[in-house]
Amino acid sequence: MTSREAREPEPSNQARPGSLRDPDAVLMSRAGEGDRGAWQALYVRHRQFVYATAVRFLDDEAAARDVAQDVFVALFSHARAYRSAGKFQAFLRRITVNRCINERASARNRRTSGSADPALDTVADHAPDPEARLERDQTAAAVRSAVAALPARQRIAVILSRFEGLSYEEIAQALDCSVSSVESLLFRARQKLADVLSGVRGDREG
Amino acid sequence: MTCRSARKLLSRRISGPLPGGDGAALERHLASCTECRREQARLEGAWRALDALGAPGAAPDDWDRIEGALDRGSRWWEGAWTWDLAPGGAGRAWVLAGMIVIGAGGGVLISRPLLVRTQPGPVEARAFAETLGDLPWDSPAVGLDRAFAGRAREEGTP
Repeated sequence: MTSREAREPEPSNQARPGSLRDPDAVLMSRAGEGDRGAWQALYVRHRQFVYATAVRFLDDEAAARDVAQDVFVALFSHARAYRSAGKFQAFLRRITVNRCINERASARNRRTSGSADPALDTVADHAPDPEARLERDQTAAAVRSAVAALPARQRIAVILSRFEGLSYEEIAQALDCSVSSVESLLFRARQKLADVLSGVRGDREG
Repeated sequence: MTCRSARKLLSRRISGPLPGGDGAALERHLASCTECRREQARLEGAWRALDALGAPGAAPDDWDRIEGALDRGSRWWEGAWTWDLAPGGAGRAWVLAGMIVIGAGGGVLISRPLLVRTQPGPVEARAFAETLGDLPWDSPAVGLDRAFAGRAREEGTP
């Protein structure tokens, strides 16, 4: 199966209200029947979101790949029991968030001395001189450290809001909490980030 | 609007426009409050600074790994249950409490016959009666059974 075929599912002949508008629901339905092509199509469609979220949360490429594997294995293992009552992406986000938080809890003593993924360390480098590049790298390190210091739920809320552009309602679904809880999480996270990063910027300017 | 209320709305506004009249109320407050304007700049600056993290890069194609894991059935229990899909904290607590209750209740039901056996059963009663009947002829207890039986007849009790 080509990547193009994997991305574009064949139209379903079964008339299911609501599910035909969501190609992911159609693919999950087929995956529940053991269609490996549907499994792969779902993986291709959603692996970037799962991987990017895990990498940003864990700051570890190898761990992020393991999390992504666990997420999709769990997803396909439950494909038969999946009911398209809600949106598939909300379901996937919930699994991804839970798996990321569990991974962090189980690897609490793992040292994260920086990402193993060179891409994370590479910021759009328009600075021509070494001094500017050094300053940018130090800023990136400070930001990464500030985010890593956030509690797990605040961190994941920041990632989903800042990098995935999710609404408060969507974040609440992913975290299995209320919208007011998400407001509180992001409020506290932003305060902490501002406390840490304003000190970093103040040192540079002062 | 107080500064406390305004600062809660400042966080919300970073994610997008505020609903209803909150946006207008916040703008009016910011127009007159230097501290809150400074806080707004601080929060927005920190949020923009997250751009420094950069992009994580393209996700590697680990389909073979995933398919292999599914084929191996490396997580056989996921067919029945996985905590990744478990309900939130309160739900898990109820599940755990239910398991404890079922386990404890089952233990009591299984052990109940053993507990009841502490009471004297028919075998013990017979042994006691037989023992009493075997008392030596000069024992103070000899004849007491006949005395009790006679009194019982007089009183009309069995």
